[in-house]
Amino acid sequence: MLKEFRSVTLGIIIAIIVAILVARVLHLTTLDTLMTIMYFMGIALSLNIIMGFAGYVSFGHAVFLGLGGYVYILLVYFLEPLNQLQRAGFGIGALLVSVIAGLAAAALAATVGAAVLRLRGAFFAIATIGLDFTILYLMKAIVPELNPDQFFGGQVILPADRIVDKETIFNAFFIATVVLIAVNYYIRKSPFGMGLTAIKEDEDAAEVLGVPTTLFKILAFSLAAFFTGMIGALFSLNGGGVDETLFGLNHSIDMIVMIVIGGLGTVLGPIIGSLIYYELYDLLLVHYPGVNLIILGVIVAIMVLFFPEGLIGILRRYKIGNVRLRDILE
Amino acid sequence: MDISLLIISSIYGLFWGAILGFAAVGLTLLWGVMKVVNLAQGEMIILGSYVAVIIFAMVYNPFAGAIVALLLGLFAGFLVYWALLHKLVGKVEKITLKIEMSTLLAMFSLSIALMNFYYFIFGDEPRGFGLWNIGISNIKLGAMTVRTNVLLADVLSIVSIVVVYLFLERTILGKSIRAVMQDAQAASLVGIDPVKIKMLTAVLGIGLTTFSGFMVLLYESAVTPDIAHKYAPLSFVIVVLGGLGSVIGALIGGLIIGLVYGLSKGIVTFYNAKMSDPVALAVVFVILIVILLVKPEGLFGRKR
Amino acid sequence: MRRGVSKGVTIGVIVVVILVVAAALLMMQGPTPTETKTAPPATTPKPVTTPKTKTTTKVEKPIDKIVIGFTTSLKGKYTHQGQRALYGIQAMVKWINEKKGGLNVGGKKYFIEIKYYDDESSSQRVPELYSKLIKEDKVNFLIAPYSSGLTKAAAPIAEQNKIVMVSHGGASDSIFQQGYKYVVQTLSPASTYLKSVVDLIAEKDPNAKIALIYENTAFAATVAKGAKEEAQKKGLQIVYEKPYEKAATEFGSIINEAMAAGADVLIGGGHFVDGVALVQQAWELGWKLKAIGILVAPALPEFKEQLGDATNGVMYPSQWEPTVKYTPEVAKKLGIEWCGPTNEEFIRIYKEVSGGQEPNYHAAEAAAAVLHLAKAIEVAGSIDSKAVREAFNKVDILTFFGRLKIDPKTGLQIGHSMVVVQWQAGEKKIVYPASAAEAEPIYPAKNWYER
Repeated sequence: MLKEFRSVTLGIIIAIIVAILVARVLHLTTLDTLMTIMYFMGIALSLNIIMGFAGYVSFGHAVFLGLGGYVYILLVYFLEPLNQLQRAGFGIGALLVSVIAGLAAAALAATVGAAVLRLRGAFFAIATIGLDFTILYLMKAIVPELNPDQFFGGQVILPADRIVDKETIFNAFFIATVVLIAVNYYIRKSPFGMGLTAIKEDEDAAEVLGVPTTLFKILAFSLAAFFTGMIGALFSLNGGGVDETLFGLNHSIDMIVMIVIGGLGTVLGPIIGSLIYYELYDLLLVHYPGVNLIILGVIVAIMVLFFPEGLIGILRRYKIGNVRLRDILE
Repeated sequence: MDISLLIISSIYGLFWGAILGFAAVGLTLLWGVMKVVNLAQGEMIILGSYVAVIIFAMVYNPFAGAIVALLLGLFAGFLVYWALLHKLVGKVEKITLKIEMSTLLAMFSLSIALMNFYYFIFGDEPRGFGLWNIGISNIKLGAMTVRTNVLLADVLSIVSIVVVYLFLERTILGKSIRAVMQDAQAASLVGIDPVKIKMLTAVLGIGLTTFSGFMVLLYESAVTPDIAHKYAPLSFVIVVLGGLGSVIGALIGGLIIGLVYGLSKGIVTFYNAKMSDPVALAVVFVILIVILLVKPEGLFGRKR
Repeated sequence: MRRGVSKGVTIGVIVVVILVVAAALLMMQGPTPTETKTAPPATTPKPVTTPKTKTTTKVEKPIDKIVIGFTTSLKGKYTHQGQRALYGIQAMVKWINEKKGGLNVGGKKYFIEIKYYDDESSSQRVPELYSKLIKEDKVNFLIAPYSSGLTKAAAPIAEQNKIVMVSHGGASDSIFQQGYKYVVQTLSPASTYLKSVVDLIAEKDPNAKIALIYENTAFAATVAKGAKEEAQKKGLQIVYEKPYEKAATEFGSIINEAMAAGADVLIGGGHFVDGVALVQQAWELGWKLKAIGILVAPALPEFKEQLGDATNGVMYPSQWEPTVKYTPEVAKKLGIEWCGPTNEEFIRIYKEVSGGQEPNYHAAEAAAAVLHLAKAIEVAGSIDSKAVREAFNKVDILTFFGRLKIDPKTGLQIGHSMVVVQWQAGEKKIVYPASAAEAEPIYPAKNWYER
């Protein structure tokens, strides 16, 4: 009985992807709304790889968002071939350039990040904040030097001939999101994912059981960084430029909150969490401007204190008929 | 290279460092005793600043503002403990990673809510004591001139840290707090009630944090919500550098960070003035990472 | 059979989720545009959308409207300026709709409607909100947000969608060096801000030793560069130069270094918070200064509330002051077309809209941006962005705000010029250039220099 329902998770994922496509084709909403949703979904799913599966909460994850954004924007600003490439192939070109940005982020994660991964819990969280600020201030120091008459305070904006149209960016964003969901789903199902879960439960025990914890952690962290970098790159491209605010802790927090709302360690959790978060954010901003974040803070506190497993986590406790939801919701 | 400019920059770094150190004392206590990382540290600091400004506007006496800030902070600590922390860490003897994350998020939600509250109530307008000073506005120290308000803030910070240190070392209550910091389980065996001590720590820690808001205000001459974003990350650096739970460590950590900041800023200025501030701050955060990796117990903390 | 059930369930779930998500997206589409308009603060009157002057204008055909979209900062760093810009825009729209009776575009009557969001002073929010204005709210034209940083964030979006955007608070020259075709400027560019202050100092005291201390942002750094070039041209000596971090509030070591360098004139600053702290600490540290010329902060009334007597002697460059004397008569003398309300009229409407506040230059430049745009629309005789942008090149008018004329190629403002204002005995007085001056500049500033 159980086995047949396994595909429900996949069904929901496919449905959401199809829904985005349908909304796009039928012009149900603007490209920007869809891209904002995919941006939230993307950053939540990226952090999920290290926070959800391996249990390492990176409070400075925005560092990869910012780094990806800067690398992308600077590349197309200074290199004409990449500027040509990003317009080519209905989004494939932009996607390829964003892969470079993602790789830069992954490289940072695999080197400095690898060292930081020796720390656990709050110390890891604080260290990633340190990493975030270090890169932020380095960018602020170096970037203005690249073009002193234009890049004041590290703000880079794309000139008229380097701006890309929305359809292209949407396509790239869409492909990146689909790949990211697939990667999350694969990790959840693979031995790699089980290894990460073992690390989350008890790292020392996992080590004893023969899980290559260091390798797995670095791999997960680099993957998380890679996708965050890509999303940051496409997000910046959509905004036509990049500045220091992309390193802001509020972005790290967005990611963490979405995962907590949705449910840690699942694939559906961050997806559903990001949809709820987007709606909540928009709704609170509309109806309670000024106090919107106060309300959001209270909601997060209540979630943490009383429903630490998140929405999917709660659902997984229940049964429908004789089907245990924990078997079908991943 | 003009050495005198370097010296001015370094000394000013030290002036800032003492205040940074005191601003981190509350954080180090909470972290050391309860293993709670107060992500709302910056917001707590400026809570004190805002309270001081409001009281100052009413009675035109900044010290009254400082005392009210302290009292309100003690009460806020009481509230935060029972509303957020007790459920998560109150009765727990061994803090697991999961609980640690929950406390991080709980304090974090508090910080979002508080920050938004400030914007809602005070907006972005800088608020301060205007041109108030203790009688003269500046003092000449050799070749350099210093605002008396900065010196006042420094003196108050250092005195406060020494008082807190003596309290922890000499009084029974202080010794109980240190006992729980070292081993909550063993402490409860000798008749210390860990819940009571944890609550006291929250009260004391947050009270001291809001009190430090007064010094921060004297030093910065005005408070805006942005000040929180400036002080909170540096508090983390200082606590890690000084060692969890170490009050003297916080002071020395603060002075080191201030000095490093001032020195690197001074040095970089000679090469490129525009780069000086970001590079100096980057250096400070590199210190954080390096200390975490090389000596995670900090300069004055115990080995874990 | 079992397989059939599972497939059925799966497909069912897929269909349901698609429906739910599609419905959610549709709902997002529905209410958001009208509602997300961030509620203005309690004191803000509702934007003028339905003009009451229908009877006087006697228009038979149904009235068409032109929608102008923008964001402004009602939270965060630029709250002060953003709120005033909003009032300014509302005041000018009110004047156009009620006083002027709408716009005459190619023989058709149009009224102006505005649509705005709160950008929370964040460059992150700006691109998203401007896309929303263009795509969801279908605005015809854009007005830029306050500050150079936010204008820079909005400019690519306007360019991407080929919609004209008028900048009222984006002074930085670099915005107009990107080859954007749809961005035009109403206020004087940043590079000219401190020029007149430097000129004044050069006239009074060729031996002045200048300290140039400025915020390291697009706007203030461009200002500083312009000031430096002007000082070199006039043969003035800059003895100390230092950028500081955005929104810095502690200047102890910087001021000490400047004093050690022997500086006796302070120019620079950035925005509000840092400007206040810089002047306050220069005062408290007993820095003997002959002149102080600071950006933005001294223009705001809160400056005096914070600093009391220390304000006297402080100068600032201003795009506009309530006391400037641009009138239709002056326009006639100069041979330029006059356009828009007179100064008194603007101030009166602004007070109505803002609940009794005095306008400052942040309000006036925003209002002038609306006027500038309205004029270009009328000249174009069309609401097509391309035609309006071309019409901007032909506009050369004198308004209450001053002369408006842009450089056709870049969109940079070249017609408008700035005045220097000095706080004297608790009052703001225009002191430079001599043709516009209400009072003699006090130089050296006595309370600062002889203490």
